[in-house]
Amino acid sequence: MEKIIEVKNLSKKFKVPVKQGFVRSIFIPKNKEIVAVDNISFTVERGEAVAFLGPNGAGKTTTLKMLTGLLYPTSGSVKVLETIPVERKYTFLRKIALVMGNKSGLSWDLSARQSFDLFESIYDLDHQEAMKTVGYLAEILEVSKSLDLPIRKLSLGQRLKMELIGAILHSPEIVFLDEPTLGLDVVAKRNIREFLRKTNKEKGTTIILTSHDMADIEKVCNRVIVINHGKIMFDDAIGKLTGRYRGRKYLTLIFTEEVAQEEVEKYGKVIDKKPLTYTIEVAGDEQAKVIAAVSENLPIDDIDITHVPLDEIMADMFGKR
Amino acid sequence: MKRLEFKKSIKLRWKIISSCTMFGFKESMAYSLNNWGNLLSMIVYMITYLIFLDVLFGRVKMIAGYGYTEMLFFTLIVQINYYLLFIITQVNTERLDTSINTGELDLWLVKPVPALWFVSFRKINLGELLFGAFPATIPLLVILSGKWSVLNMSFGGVMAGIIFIILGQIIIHCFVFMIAMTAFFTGEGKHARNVGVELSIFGDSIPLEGYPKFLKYIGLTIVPFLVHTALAVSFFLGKNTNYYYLVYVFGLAVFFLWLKTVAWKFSLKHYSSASS
Repeated sequence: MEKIIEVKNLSKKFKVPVKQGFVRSIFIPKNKEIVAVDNISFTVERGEAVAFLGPNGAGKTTTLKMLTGLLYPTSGSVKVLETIPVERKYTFLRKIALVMGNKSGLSWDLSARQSFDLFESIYDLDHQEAMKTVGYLAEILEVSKSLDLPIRKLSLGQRLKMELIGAILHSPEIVFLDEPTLGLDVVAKRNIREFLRKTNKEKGTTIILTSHDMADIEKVCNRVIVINHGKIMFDDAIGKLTGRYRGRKYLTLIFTEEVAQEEVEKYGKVIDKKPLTYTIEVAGDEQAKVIAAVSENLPIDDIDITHVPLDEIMADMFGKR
Repeated sequence: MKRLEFKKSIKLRWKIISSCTMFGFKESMAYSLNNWGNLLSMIVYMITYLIFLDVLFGRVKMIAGYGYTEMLFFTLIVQINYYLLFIITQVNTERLDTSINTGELDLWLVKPVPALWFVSFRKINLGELLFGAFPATIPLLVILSGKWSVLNMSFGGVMAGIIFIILGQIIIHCFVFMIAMTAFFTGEGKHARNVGVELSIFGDSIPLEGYPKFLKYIGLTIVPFLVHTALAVSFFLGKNTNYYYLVYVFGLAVFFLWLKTVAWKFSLKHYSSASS
């Protein structure tokens, strides 16, 4: 498969001012260096859907910005579609798109359709084709009726959907998304995930996504790059990440009557507690024994078995340096 | 091949400017009450200024060698230049500042547009021209209407004056834009930008001939506040016929355009982008 993103020993450092007295800060300013991205390397093949996962300040967005040419790397090399992004060549920019969940590229005072007219000019698109694409995308994202409303009158979910339409109007080869479902409700998130999955599968568009929402990662991407403190901690299929934790299982025990926590703790570590429900963690090879014992000794109504959730895996990983 | 690419580049730039002008016009029409308010305030300002000039010339015959009618003409050119500066430069530098501060600039830097050209002309506020510049200038034009014959204008002088307005606008645009680019380093540049704008209209108070030598020198070189208005009017009215200035100002415009491009590339290299 064709490699369209190649990153080698990439680093990015920022200088930030050190807090001093007012006079000192003017005449003898001091700066300290923050390492946002620390010597990372990876490649992405055409058609992949890759997620960057990590806690706040991990370096995900900084990496994304270097891939799109917004930031100059401090050291190392990055090539996207055989171009150095910071050169910002027309042919390169024509093939990529960037969507940022908390930033808007559409005019606040005008309708989305009017903004798309501007994009149509910028991307030199055929008017009929562009309108057809807008109509099609708006229908999939269920925002056809909102195309002619001013952006300021749309909900957050609708606005983001319009941003997505504006971003992929020109059929880019790679779509970079930074927290695309930030602040959205469950239904809107589901719509957007389905849309991204469809775009990836049907059009072969490469998706690079950063998110804190594990469902974004699980539903849209097949590969995850975990970044923490600027370094890559994991880079492989999501299945292999969850596979590492296969030795542990979560049992959700639903009781017919109240049971004391001490009784439940005899069978495993209590992770979560709700009325009549406990979730415990057990070793994978002991789950059958535990289920049998719990069923015999406690007033069980139902038992649910799950793998360790992705957010628990992340919390575990981010706890380590 | 290079000629083809050059043609393509010109075509794209023209497309950007025309699309952004249309887009900017739609944006400025989005809030109609705002436009009427603006129109009213501009007309009041113009009338107040004309009364002031009338009172002033009741006491003096000349200001820096310019009579009343010549000063009215000077005011007309000041107005034209002020609005050109506002609708092209001020609006776009303000937008640049905001988009750097909020990070919105990121979304435009990844679009296939010549970025500097785009941010320079992203919004051409034709609404302001319609509702501000033109109506506010009507009282002035009415007063001047019977007095054109008093002005000592020649074809050469008028052509030179128009060229100085165009080149002067280019120069002052580059000057103000470069100051606005400090936002790349500081995160926000409202006050620096305001200084740039104030400097650019510094030469709108008195004619060229009224300035002391050292200010004339500065205003025609490093802080070019005298080119677009004072120098232009001086040629319009035949006070200055040294056409060497045309060559000099053309060179100055090319220099400032080059400097603006260099400053932009330097700023982008140090751009740290607002956090998400």
